[in-house]
Amino acid sequence: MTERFELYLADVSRRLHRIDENRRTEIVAELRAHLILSQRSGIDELGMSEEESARAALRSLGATRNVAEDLVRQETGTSTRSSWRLVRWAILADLAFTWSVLLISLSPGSYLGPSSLAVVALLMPLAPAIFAVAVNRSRRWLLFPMAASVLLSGLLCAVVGSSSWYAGRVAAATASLGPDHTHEAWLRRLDRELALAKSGAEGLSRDPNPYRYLNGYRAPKWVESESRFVLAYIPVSLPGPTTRQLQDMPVPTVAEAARLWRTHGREWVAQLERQRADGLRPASEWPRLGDFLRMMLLDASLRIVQLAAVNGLILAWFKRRRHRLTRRDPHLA
Amino acid sequence: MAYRTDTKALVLAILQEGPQHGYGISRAIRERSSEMLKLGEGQLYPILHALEEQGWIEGEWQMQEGDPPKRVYRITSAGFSELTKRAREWQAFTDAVGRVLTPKPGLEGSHD
Repeated sequence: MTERFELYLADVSRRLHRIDENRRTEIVAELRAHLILSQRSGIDELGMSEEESARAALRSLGATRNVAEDLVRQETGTSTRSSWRLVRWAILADLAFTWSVLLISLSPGSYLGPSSLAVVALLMPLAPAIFAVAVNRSRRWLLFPMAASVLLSGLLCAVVGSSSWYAGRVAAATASLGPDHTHEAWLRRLDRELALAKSGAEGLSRDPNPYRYLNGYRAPKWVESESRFVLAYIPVSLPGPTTRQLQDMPVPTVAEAARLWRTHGREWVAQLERQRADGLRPASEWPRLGDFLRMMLLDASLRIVQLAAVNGLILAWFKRRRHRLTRRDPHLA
Repeated sequence: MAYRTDTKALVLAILQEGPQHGYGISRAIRERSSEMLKLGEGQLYPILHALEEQGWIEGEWQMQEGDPPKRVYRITSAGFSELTKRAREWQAFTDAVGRVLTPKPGLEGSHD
């Protein structure tokens, strides 16, 4: 039966190629002693035949691939290393993604083309992918350090993103795009809209040209507006709750537009005036921080759920694979 | 049993009774637990090597006449302290579970 053990041990040794030769020899010698003791115990104590006992000894040790993988993980440190260390690259990738969204808004170039969106889209799946590799190597639950980092970086982002300093930088970045992107230009546009809204149906019947908008005439209309939220890490958006909103919409005929102006004109004027007053008031950081924190918490929870799913699925897959390998290992037949 | 086993503590507990080789450790755990705890023997060696790396056990090759050499492990003083700590934690845990599972006096059979 020594030959059977030697074939098994040779297979294990071949799979331990990442471990240095001396250590590999030691490990194989230890497994050899284990198999011989186990076989002897089967013969002496349970009255098994030599062959039966050898098979039982091999089966107790397990499939060569499982044994080798466990040993390699131990020898290379992935099973004992701290989980923070194992996920450090995934944490860095996640930080890069989180902060890139804030940093990109500070660059005037990012408002001109899709390049910044491409950067964000590329960074998006990077953290879960690196995290999956770390779980795959260590076969451990590594969620805690990732979740802590996602929450902390989200919190920091909320604080920075809601600060007046950041708002000022974003305003400066957009203003540097040209005169059409300044706060004053926005106010001028709003004032023009407000003047049209105040004229309403009367203005429209006098001269419909200023009301021309896309393929019709602008008029305030209640519409169902569906909010969407992007699944963090996956560039897919899901439908959120719908709300009714009064919006500036193109309608095909002057008569229909006039009817809508008569019905909702006053509400639309009030809405634009509120918008104007908000735009003129110096922004307070506290309500903005509240909004950012709510957004951050939702985003962080979505990310943590996805990371937990990645971690759980990989571990479940390896558990199944372990059983499959044990069933199929020719040395254990 | 769905409870997670502290395999490292089990190995240390077996070794506190005297030096032992890998096969002896797995056998002792099986026998002492009346076959309830069957440590995957293939998974035992990475655990032994991890314990050795942490300085909680020491391994030594023992030559045998006519048989291949075997590696025998013994617990170190650091390993003994670790075992004491883990045993205390386990005791506190089982005490707490026991207190929850045991009905308060006078409540036995109150559903009847």
